Amino acid sequence: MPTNPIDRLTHAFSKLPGIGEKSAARLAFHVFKGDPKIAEELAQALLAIKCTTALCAHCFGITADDVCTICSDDRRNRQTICVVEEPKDMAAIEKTRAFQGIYHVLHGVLSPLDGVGPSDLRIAELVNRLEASPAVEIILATNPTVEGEATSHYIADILRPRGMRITRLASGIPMGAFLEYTDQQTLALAINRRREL
Amino acid sequence: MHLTYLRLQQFRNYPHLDLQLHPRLNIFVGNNAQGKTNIVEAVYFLSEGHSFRTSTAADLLQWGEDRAQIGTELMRDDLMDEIAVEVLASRRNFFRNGKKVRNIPELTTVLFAPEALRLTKEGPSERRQFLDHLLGQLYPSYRVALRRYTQALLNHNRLLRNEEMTYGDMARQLDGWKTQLIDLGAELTVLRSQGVADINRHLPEAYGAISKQEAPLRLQYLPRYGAEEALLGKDVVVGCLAKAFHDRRDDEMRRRTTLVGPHRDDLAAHIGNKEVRHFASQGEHRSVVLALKRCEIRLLEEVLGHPPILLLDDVASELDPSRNHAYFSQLLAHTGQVFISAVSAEDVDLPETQEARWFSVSSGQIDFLKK
Ligand SMILES: [Zn+2]
Repeated sequence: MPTNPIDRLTHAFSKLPGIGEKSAARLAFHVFKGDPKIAEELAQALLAIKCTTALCAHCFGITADDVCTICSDDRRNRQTICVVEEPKDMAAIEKTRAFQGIYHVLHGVLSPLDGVGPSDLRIAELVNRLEASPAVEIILATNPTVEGEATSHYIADILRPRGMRITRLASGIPMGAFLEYTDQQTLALAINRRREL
Repeated sequence: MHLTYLRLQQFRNYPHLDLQLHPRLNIFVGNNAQGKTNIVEAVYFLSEGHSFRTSTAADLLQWGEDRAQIGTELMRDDLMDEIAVEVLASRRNFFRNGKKVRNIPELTTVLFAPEALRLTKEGPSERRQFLDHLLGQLYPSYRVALRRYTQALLNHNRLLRNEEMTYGDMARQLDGWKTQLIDLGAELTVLRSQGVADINRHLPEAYGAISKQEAPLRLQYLPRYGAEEALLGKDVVVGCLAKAFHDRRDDEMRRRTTLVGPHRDDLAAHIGNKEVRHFASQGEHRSVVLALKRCEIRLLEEVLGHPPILLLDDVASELDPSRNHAYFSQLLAHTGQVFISAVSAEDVDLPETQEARWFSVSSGQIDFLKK
């Protein structure tokens, strides 16, 4: 006998991260009682994300088309490529509107302990991309974890013979923050990496 | 700094315990496996976020329970904070005045358990642990560097053990980890060298109070690379470690493990020109460890501006009567709060006049003990 529709929807919602049985049931009842338009919009959006999104052919960010809106924007500076770990990092930098260049998403970091090597990341694709259209600067914007540092180091070594400028994101005290509220890790690093004035 | 009470819920063999504590000495007397060490362990957990007896948090929970709670009130001069830690099988949550926090850095403890007496006898890893623990409390940046160093080391070793990779591929991939091992390793080396110098500053006084030896006790830091360079600062050690990595590269590939770096450092203690590890008597070993602990307390006191809480787990029974006496008179010079566990009240050699609260511990039942 098929499961009743409420239980079926509850079960489906509960598979999403951060949603427990109770919240899943609440969502399911909300959809059941609510405006049919909500259900329709949800159903279409859910299907669309799987059917109509793909990885951008150039930067491997998430896109609805073959090439993402950033890569296809003529106003972006193609001479500067910012290398990030995940699409969500690309979104975070985009929100700042401080960066006018284009991106390259690695989809992970080097981590021998987890069995992740260079061939599991989009590193060869980055090299091919630079082969086709050279850039002036590569910004390595992986996270400041030991894995992120090792990944940036590896990529820098590979790209260095090409003679382009290679930079790494700075780390330090958040702007507008007070020293007394900055966590010890960040503060110690900021002291160690102090700069000349 | 002292704790005014201790409240345990579903912790070890205590379903519920409320203890009013003495600001100075709290002495728990009872046979083994009755629950006296559990009290010391609970206080240690509040400051460290882990146990010194087990790495499995589930061991701390009462049978069939999914969480335990340790609560206390921390007095610092005229400031009072409610501190609690909730222990779950997979994580722990700290609370200060009901607000969730990452840790309780102001609550600092020094633990002295019988295992510490092995410090001068066993392999170098015990001595590195002693130094890591002390320096982690003295310098917040040490703890961060050590955590990152360990993570980089594990990855570096895993790569070295990969037998399917070509030499060229391996060398290219090792480089990013090696660079970090050198940078973080140099940071650790410099801080360790500084820490050992700090310990040596306090050793003559600490050792003199415990031992009647004429010859002085000195601690020597023995990094495999960069012993002299460590005094010249981080940049010099970086150069030294980089050279060592370069020289031993083939060796490293052949032996498939990281051969260079502070994870292979050691410490040596000397009484006069005798190395303690090889030539000291049983009694001398104990005096050396007691003196090192005394230095640890002094250094923390210097940095924190107040004495740390002392935790003495069943140490007294390990000492002969004359050392026991010297040991406890040293203790009384410590003005902070102390938790002592002992099998019998006779093991704790204190003057009659000493202010202290005595407890008897039997099957998880705690009563006041009149001494
Ligand atoms: Zn793109």
